Amino acid sequence: MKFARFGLVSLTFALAARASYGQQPFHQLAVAGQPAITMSATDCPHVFSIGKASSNTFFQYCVNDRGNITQVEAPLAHFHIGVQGEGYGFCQQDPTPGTAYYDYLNFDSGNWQAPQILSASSSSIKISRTTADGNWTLVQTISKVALTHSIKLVMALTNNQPLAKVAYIARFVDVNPDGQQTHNAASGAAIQSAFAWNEDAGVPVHYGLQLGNIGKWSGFQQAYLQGIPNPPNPCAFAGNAERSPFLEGVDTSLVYAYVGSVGAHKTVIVTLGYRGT
Amino acid sequence: MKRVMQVLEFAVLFLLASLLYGQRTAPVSATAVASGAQAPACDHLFTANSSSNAFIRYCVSDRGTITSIETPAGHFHIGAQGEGYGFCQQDPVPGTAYYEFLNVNSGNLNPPTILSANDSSIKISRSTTDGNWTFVQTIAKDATAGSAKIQMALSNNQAVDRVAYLIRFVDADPDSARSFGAGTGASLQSAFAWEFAVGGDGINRGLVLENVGAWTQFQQGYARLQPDPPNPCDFANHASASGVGISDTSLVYAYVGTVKAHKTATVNLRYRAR
Repeated sequence: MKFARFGLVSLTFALAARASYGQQPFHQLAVAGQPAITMSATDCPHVFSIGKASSNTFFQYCVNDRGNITQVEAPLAHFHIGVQGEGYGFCQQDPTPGTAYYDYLNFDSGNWQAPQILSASSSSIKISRTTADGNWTLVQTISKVALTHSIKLVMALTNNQPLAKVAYIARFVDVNPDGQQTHNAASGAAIQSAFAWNEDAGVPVHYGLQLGNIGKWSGFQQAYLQGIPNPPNPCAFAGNAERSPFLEGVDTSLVYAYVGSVGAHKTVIVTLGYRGT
Repeated sequence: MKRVMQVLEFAVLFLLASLLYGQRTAPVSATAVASGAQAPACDHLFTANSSSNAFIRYCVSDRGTITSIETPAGHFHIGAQGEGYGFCQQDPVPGTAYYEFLNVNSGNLNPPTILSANDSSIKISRSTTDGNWTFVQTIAKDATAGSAKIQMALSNNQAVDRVAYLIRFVDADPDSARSFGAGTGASLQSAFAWEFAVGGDGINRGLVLENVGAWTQFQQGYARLQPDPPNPCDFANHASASGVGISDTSLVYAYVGTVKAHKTATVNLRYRAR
């Protein structure tokens, strides 16, 4: 019975997310088709590395000042993020149709204040952003985890309003596993993670990337496989999701979404991770 | 150049494993006949995160095989061919296989010794009947990750260095899906299976077997195109070349490396919800 109720709640959120799809136009910051983000100093102001370059545990990634992960290299010379980039967003559900706040490298909702870097070291970076309307503050802590050669993302969303609000929180990545945009790319999604990997039968080792929940969350949570590389509207995070989460030979992207109530002047925290598949 | 050499080394080891196909020295001996997707008994039960999606409950047998994994609550992922471990001493050719899978074992392992057990972990030791190897595994629940973490330590009791293959296997039936709607994938760090059918409560579930440690030599996940366990001396046989499988598949994670005389090699893996 508990799971039946949970299933109904899940379906309700998914349907609501689909229903509101398309109600918020994107503010595009760059044009798709540009070369993939590299590890250059221009593209990569904060670089983090784990493991020796000669090791399978080598893991390197870049974070920009806005808290986007602009590239993931795992292991050496195997890159996994496509031109639509990576990023985050959230949606205040009420009043309908909701208000979306997002920053996906190439797409920004335009309703943010400038980011503030609260701290930065060789192992982590902490970035705060408050919305232009002052209603929300998102603090992200992005850390490297040497033990599991992975990235740990802690997203803390604070409701600055005097009323509790339902929020959707989403993490997105345009995944091109081992540089495979369409051909030889396989992708999937399940409750705890979304993932993509190179399915070229001619290579001895298949490389890929997974985005997954690694924390505890008592509300709705789910990974989605999108049949397009573009990011979702956070108010419609399931809008582009494939009904059957397994695709081959398609330019896909991955989304992980949470839904929950955020009390007045309270903070909710979700924890995700990126690692090689 | 170092990377090129590493890739070449991987390719040679992969070919070697394939060439050894059919040369198993220890015949598979059935120890039980599977009758269903879930193990009927549980020697050692571990549970973490009872009220969340990170819930995981799993059973470990006295032999160190995991007989059932439930994550989240009510969703089971191990099929009738079960789960288990094995290793192979590569030389002299064609190698010697030692393994313990739910329904089959190599018949050349001494009875297991439980070194320690509590509500969060169990440590089990097995030596081979020829005395050449000792295999100690520690299976511990990780509440933070919602996972079952497995450390496998293989000691070479011989006076010479040996190349060993070390594997973990599971007949993954994600969310009890055996063929229809079950997808399987494999990559460098993991092998995984998930149920991707449309319907139900709209949520798809599965299992991942992944490396979580540092290993400097060959390592890889495999999606096997059949549910039966492999010969550890031939772990890549029946693996999907594309790293993708759709049907009744199974998962293998394999390591290859030299274990020096009277030394121990240690690998770390984990099972968690996909």
